[in-house]
Amino acid sequence: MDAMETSKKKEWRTGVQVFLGLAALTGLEYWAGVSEWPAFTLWAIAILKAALVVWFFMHIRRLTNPEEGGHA
Amino acid sequence: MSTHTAVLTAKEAARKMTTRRLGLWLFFLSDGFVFGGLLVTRFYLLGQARPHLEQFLGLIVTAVLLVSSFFMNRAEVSIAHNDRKSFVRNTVITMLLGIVFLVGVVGFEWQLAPFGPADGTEGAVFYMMTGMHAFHVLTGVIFLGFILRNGMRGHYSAENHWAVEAAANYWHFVDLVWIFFYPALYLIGTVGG
Repeated sequence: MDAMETSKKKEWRTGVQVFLGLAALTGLEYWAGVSEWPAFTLWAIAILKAALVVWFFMHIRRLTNPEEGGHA
Repeated sequence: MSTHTAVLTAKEAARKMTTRRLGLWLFFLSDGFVFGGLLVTRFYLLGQARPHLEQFLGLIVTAVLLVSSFFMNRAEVSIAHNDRKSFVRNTVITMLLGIVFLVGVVGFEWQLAPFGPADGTEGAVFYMMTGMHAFHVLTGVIFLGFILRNGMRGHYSAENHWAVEAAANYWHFVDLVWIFFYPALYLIGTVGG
């Protein structure tokens, strides 16, 4: 039970870190947009945000690792 | 159950999970083409001009969707660790944030936009992109409603929560689409070209 609680807290912590990264990138994106930075910088930020979501929230690596995700 | 049978069952379960996940990602890919087409349409028809929209409102709804993804992730992690109470709480928060996003876009942005859906290419592109996305958010909220109901009835556990994983991934996919729509509609280019 303790191991499960530790594992949950670890995953929650990762979620917080990813969220903070996404929030910072969104802030930077907004600032870059209103400051009229070149479009490619906005696309670069968007791709970085998308990569974080796909990797950490959508767990794309589970496609090749069926045991991951806690299912029986 | 013999060891041989147990190994076979485990293998079969792993194969089944791979197939489910692959099917879901193929759906994301096909749906992604729809949104990709809309994104290309926006730049083909409007070029470097962007619609005159409420910048701050755009940032607010983007932040709301981002926060909802955070709570969705928390809900999925909770059920994967048998914490049903936390799963229910985080799913409800995600649904509420989804509804706030819908109100922000459809209830406010659509009313505040200085053009209608039939007012030229600007209106067509804006309402099609946000409308299609809002429809996906709405279906996501409904999907979350189903898993919330089943979760409250105790249908999910650490060993059996594929529906939660699928709903969470769908929700993150909707967020993913907005990650590209937000700069395309609100930030890139200049107002009115």
